[in-house]
Amino acid sequence: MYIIVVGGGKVGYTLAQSLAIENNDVVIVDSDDSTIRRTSESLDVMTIRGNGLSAAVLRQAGVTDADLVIAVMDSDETNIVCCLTAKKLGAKHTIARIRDPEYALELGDLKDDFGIDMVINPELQAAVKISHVLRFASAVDVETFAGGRVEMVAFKVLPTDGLAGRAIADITPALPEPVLICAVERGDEVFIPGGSFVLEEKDKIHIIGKPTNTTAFSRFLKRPDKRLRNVMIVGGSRIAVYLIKHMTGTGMHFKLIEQSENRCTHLCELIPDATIILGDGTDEAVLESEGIRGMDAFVALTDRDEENLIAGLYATHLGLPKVVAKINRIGSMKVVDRLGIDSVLSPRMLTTDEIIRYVRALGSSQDSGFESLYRIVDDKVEALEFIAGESTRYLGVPLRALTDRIMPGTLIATIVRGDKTIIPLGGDAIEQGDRVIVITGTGSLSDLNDIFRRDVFRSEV
Amino acid sequence: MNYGIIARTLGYVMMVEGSFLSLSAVASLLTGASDVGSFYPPILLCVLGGYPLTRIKSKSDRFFVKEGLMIAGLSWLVMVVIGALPFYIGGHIPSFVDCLFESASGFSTTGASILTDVEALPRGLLFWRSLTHWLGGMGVLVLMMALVPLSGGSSLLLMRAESTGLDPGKVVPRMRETARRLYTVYIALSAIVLVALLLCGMTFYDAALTMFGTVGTGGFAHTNTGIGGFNNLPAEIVVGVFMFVCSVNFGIYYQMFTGQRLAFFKNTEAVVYTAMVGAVVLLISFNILPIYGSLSAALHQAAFQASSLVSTTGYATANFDLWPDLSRALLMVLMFMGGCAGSTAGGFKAIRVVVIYKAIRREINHILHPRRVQGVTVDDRMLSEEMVRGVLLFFALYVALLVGSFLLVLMIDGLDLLTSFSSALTCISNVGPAFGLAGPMGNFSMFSGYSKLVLTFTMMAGRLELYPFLLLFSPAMYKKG
Repeated sequence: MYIIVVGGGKVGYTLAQSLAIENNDVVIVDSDDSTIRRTSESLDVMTIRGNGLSAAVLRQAGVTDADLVIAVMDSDETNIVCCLTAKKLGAKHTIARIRDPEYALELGDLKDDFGIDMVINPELQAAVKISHVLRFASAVDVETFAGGRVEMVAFKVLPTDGLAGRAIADITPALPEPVLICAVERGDEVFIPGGSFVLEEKDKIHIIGKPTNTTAFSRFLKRPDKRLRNVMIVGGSRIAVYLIKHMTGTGMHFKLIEQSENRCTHLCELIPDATIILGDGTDEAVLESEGIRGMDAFVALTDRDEENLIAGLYATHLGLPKVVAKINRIGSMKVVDRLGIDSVLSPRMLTTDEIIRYVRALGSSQDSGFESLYRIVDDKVEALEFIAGESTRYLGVPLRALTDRIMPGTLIATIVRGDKTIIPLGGDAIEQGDRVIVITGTGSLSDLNDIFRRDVFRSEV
Repeated sequence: MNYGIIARTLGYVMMVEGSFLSLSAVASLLTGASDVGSFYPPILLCVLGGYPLTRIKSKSDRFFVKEGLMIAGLSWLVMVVIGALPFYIGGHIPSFVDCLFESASGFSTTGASILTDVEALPRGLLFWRSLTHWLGGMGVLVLMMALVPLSGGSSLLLMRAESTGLDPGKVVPRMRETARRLYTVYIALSAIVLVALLLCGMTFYDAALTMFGTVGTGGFAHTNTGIGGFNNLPAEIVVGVFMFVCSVNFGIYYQMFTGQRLAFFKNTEAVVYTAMVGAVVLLISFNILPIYGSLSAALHQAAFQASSLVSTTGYATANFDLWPDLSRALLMVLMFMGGCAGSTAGGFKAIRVVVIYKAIRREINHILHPRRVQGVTVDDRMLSEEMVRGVLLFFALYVALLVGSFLLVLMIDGLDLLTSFSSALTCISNVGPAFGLAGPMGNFSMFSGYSKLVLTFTMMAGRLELYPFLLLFSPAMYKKG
């Protein structure tokens, strides 16, 4: 696909990188010389220096034939105007990043008039993601599929679990409800484990199954799944506002520490339910006096990555049940994961994932529709959701018979058929209309048929 | 330093060279020449040495500026050394230094020769000698990028190290696709020239070899009498026109082909370049009018010689060394400037002349109005100060290398001033013929081995636009970190 990314900032760069790796023709437009230089030297994309709002520049970037224009400049207004211009000049699809909560809400209605096909709000996404993690106290990460009927939950293997040193085949029969251990992160590597795979301490395991079953699994791990009541947030950023608004009515109480007096006043207005504290949230004395030790969860959301990580480490050190830190600039999640903070999330990665998902969906054929995508650790392993359609191969053929035909390193993790959620065994088959969740290490799937080996299929036909 | 990726790229370069050597071996067999044996050892070397290198694994596929320069410099060095082997193995050029000179002259598209009797060389080796022009013209790394999927986004660094001009841009987003399209333009131009020459009545062999020299702007003659010896006026016109055509940015032809018909006229460099060459042709025509009698004959000779020298090809239809001093000086100016960025031509490049002119004009404005703020713009695009400074320093370094090479040659061999200077100039600009003893009717055989090495070095540095080749000899490249 021919994709123009307008704005070469953090998100623009990461996007261009991921899109170029997936074999799209990518053009980056940015007005800053050094950004252009850096991008052209490290990515296989075309770079154009110029104002992304100018029709001439957009034409030069090939907007008339573009399949997609993504506007990720600093200001919301610029992004809106850019999409509007691009659409008028002939771009087929447009995506705009809109961050201002006021716009974000209203744009839902105006999207079509502005020629924007998708509005992306990184802060809102981050807030939703944090809310998932906070709801599930014992997990470090939660992702939902099939409209919430399937959950993928990540746990860290602790010495108290009794999982370390046991093989997967050994654990599975002992589980109270069926779930599938679909991916294991160990150090820099990610494995899609077979039955003989032996777990070790500190592994991060991803399990997939019905929400009730994943909850049962966390009970099986003997981790008290008590509800988190008191949450301390440092940094009164937009994410904090979205998060608190999102969690209103769940019975959670938020204490928000913010440094700027003006911002505090403003926050009081925006989120009257939360306790707003004026102070430096990276100062241990402030944290202690506000009772960090008594908190159930700690979320660091300041604008500075370092402060978030340090505050997060401090909370982890105090033994809080749940610690979440936001990072934005740091590219390598691998390094950050080693620090030991429960959940570290990057709005930039979330935005990129969301857009990649959209791009792949555009590229996939109509009836093997691509539904959602979740990337586990630095893009190595992905969990994808597809809907099986007429053109899906091997419909109704038991999976047992397909072992040789499925790409190596690919796992059919869950099949959702109507109300039923199936963890597929050898005898199960994919039927038309099923939602199929696939875990793969091969990358770049955009169609359910991509999980089958092409050479074998061709030789059969 | 990522040595894995350097080795791998070198391996691919060797494979590419091996296939071109094989093509020459085929040419040797088809023409019934006796020299096919000269090609087997280097082909074996390319395959047996190159293939294992391409299998070397590295921890990461990423590389940076340093590796990019290193790859470009080393690739060309390896290519030239292997390219010299066929001449040496058959014993057709006995001294290895001479072989190196001939090979470097071929790949750098210089076209300067140490052979006194070109026709004594068998036809297979002559084919190889001219083919090196074609490969060297557009660049082996660009060809490799078109053929081999080189992962990683840093491939622009390679293109930048090998291509000529300020800042080679991509014509399409993907590097591999860009390389392919530029090569498509190159191959299309080659095909046009080949067909045109065949229509002019040349044999296929003569037409092919002349085409290699024309499109690659190299200029090796494969007969003792050169291009004038064919006594074929239409062919001379084809060669004359296409030498000029191939000294203009190939990106422009791509744009013209994809719909922007007026791209040529919107490109400052191309327009200024054409105007300058046109003016020089007229001046020379009037200057040499007394020698040739008629204006048409003078114009024909002036245009061919100017086109040949400014495009840094070096074919000659007249002994311009006998022309008046003004004409010779003007030709020397053209030789210094060379063609446009992004073409197969060598030399200082017209775009840099444009930038220096504009920088000087700005400086004058600045002296008169010290508070005036002004940028240097080319094609409505403002160049960064870093780039302007880069061009000025490139000029300084270019002149320094030219002078250094001239003085060394003068010291070693003690030939006359004109011969020594013009030889250094012709080598750094990758033209071919010089003036004096090394003029269009002479050759480089009278230089000693040391001088030939100096000139070989100068040719390579000139082709790679100094830095990639010079840095190969800098200790800073080999320091860790």
